[in-house]
Amino acid sequence: MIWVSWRQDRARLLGLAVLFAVLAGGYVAMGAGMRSSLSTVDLPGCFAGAPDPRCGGWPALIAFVHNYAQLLLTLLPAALGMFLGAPVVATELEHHTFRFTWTQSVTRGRWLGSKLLLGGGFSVVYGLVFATAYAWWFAPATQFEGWFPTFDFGLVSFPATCLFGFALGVAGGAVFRRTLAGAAVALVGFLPVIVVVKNLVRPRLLSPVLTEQIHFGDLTVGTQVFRDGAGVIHGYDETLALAGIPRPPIPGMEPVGRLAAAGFTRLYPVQPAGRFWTLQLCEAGLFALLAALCVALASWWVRRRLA
Amino acid sequence: MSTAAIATQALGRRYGRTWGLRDCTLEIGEGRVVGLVGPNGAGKSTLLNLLAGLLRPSAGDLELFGRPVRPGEPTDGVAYLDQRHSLYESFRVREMLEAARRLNRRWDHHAALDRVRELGIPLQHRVGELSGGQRAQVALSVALARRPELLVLDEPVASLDPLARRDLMGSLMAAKADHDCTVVLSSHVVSELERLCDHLVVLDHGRVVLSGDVDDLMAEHVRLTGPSSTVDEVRGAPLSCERRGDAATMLIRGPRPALPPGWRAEPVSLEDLVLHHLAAGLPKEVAA
Repeated sequence: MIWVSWRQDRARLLGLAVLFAVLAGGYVAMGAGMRSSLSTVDLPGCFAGAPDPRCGGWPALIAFVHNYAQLLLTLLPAALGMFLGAPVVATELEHHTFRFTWTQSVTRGRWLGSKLLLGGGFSVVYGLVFATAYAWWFAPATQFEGWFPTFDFGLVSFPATCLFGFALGVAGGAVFRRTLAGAAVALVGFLPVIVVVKNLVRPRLLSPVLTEQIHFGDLTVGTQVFRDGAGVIHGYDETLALAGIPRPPIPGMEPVGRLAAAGFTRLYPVQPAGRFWTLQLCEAGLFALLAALCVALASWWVRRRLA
Repeated sequence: MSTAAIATQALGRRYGRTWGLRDCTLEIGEGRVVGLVGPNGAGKSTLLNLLAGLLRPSAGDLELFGRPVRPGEPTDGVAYLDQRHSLYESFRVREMLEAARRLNRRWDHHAALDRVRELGIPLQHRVGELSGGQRAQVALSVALARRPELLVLDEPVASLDPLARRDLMGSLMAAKADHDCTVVLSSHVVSELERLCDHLVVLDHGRVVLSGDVDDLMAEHVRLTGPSSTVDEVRGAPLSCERRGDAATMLIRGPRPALPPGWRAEPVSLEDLVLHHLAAGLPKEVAA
């Protein structure tokens, strides 16, 4: 059964393998180039994309990668849905081959299962390959910046995001019965999900820790707060009012010294560096759950609505 | 054998508000070759899709060899061939047979290979490059290699040229002789079915208009011709009566009535019989 799925999907699987390999290869090439052309002392500081003579010609490229390329790369899981997921059910309907496939001994459930196993398995592998290349490229910078800048393409969360992208395409193709419509669902449906997860869900996966000192690798989330002598937490404006200090006219010129003298300690809400992999697991779990929902919908649709 | 190959009880399938098939009650014994005829949209494909497990009944029951049929359940004993002879276009013939082998529990790979080779179809050709006739033969080979108890064919020759049509019908007859399975095939051309079928089901507007053994039907029906002036003297309820100038033609089902002078009885062709029943519409009681 898996042989049939492989024979049907191998061209698409190879095409996407090339796409992911080229992109992963780009990061590997960039990483190799930076490692060979920059001194080990300068190298870690050159991943932010800030112009600096010690970074040679790399900052311009890195700024481009940060500002443009990564925006598009966020859509890689959607590409899996468009080109690999959407055709799974829809091509069978478009080419009428479901009349062959679904009248053999193999049940629809098992047939879909093998297609999902193959497509989903490869999606995870592709995601893992890309995430590994990305992590290898960025590895020298982690001693300054920690792993949090790689969160979008994290080794754990990104493969799960790819799995979700694929499953969304499968469900879209099954429900709308056309590959093109399924591809549209995979793209248009993925965008709001990724935006909501990145901006609304991700910061709430674990509540931040308040710390006086931000350490290397910590991710600052939200704005500073102040703790009074009794241990009660106050916002900035509230603290100023309590301390009787007028608000400074320019933002960023917080009168920290006067507030400290008045007994207020400044605290930063952070996700500590040590939480990176826990948060990755949480997000991977979330995407795996969304993928499971898409699979359940596709399976129900194939067995009940397309009969 | 007490179990029928096909037993349906008030079987119906609805598409939205319209019924594609309604109140279909049939009982067909094992080993029969059933011809399913009717105009386009009569419900032929709906019935065949229900038999193949591609569609779920909206009403009634369907049993094949005493087992209920449902989409999503394995159909080992039922092979189905659609009108387009749908196969994976990008597969080579050899790969198509391999795919079918892996998709079926019961599969005679040698039989499939031998049959395709005997027909001179190159195994390394892609399915999409085959002629319509070759493709139909590959699809039939796949169906037969499953050693089906029931072979369901939806307009198997509709898309073929006359030569390929004759070949495929010949193959079907040979296959029936070799395997002794029950066969159901549909067509809107009655003459195509005449040689092959021993049971006829006529559908119209989603309902069974006529169902019976072909020989019985032929024996039951008689065509009467005579002068128009004495039409009223013919006893019995005609299924149809047609007057053309001085001459009149009637189709009678049941015992032959005594005929007035100038009238004669002659056997009716299967095609005429079907056409008369389609023209008459809903089923009528046999005049006794």
